[in-house]
Amino acid sequence: MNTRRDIEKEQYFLDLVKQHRPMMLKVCYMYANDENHLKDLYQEVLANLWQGIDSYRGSSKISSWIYRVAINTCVSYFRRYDRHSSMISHIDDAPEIGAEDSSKTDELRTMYRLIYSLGKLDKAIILLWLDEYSYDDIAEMTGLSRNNVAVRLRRIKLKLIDKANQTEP
Amino acid sequence: MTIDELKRTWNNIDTRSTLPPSSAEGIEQRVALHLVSSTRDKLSAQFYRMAVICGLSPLMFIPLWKFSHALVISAVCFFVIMATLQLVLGLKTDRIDITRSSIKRALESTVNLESLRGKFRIAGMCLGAPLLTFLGIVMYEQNDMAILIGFISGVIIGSIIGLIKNARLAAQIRMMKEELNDIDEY
Repeated sequence: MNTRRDIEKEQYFLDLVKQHRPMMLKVCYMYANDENHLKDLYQEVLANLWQGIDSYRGSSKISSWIYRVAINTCVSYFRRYDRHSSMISHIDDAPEIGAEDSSKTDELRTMYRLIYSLGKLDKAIILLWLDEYSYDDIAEMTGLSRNNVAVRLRRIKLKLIDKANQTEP
Repeated sequence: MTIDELKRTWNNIDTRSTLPPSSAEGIEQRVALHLVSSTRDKLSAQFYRMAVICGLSPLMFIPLWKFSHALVISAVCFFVIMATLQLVLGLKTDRIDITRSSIKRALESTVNLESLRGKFRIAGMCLGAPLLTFLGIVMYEQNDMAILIGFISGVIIGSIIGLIKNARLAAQIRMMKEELNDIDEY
């Protein structure tokens, strides 16, 4: 039987994930190989948030905490038989996710194709930077030094710009 | 494309095209109603279940005591070792808490766990193959050649499947390790 506390926790959880759903889905999308993988990742992120919600101590903003859990889930989610696990060097080789072909998905596909070939850690760094986290925040969340983040970010940006310019007509 | 255009593209993404809201809400409801558990929980439960199965498996060999004491003792030792390895994996999995760790630490935990699983799997195959062959020989001495052929075929096929599975996993783990090794501290 659900206690009142359980019901309140469920409602709090549902309100929280609804508010942060766009951010979590963007992260999961960038790590997914196909639609089933995307759903699995999103479910896994939510399951981890549910488990960790009671131990969240407020040491960082809740949105930062959710972001970190989402990325941690995506980098540690191990798919045993992953046909796309090898690094894809040519962005046209990146698999398609999402069936719609409308202008709303153009930005999504563009970013996906650019970011897809990055390693898991580099993907995390660039996603955090794109969402305007400071270098210090990125260093704290990734567990890297600030210098390391700066150097890696520079390399990643150059790689992405180069890739983007390769595909422009 | 410039960096600013990259950022603009990112900010303009409409996430409704990633997953329909109804799908997302369905997943959220299932989690809130405890209908879903995390992979970590499923994995540790699987390890503990295997530990129990390995712990009970020696009982199957009791009827073979009259044919060969050495076989039964070897089987007991094998299953005790396997049960211990599964327990170790279960305990290691329980200690992983990605809600509190950094991203690098989460990646390291996964690499360490999967590497350990791979090593334990190889250990299991190295210990299990001779045991199965021993069992086949004992059964052959009691029955006929067909039993021995069946056992040897099973050992060979099982080993090939195990090696292929391990090779795929090893490739994924190698990629993740390369990323971690690439971290140069300045």
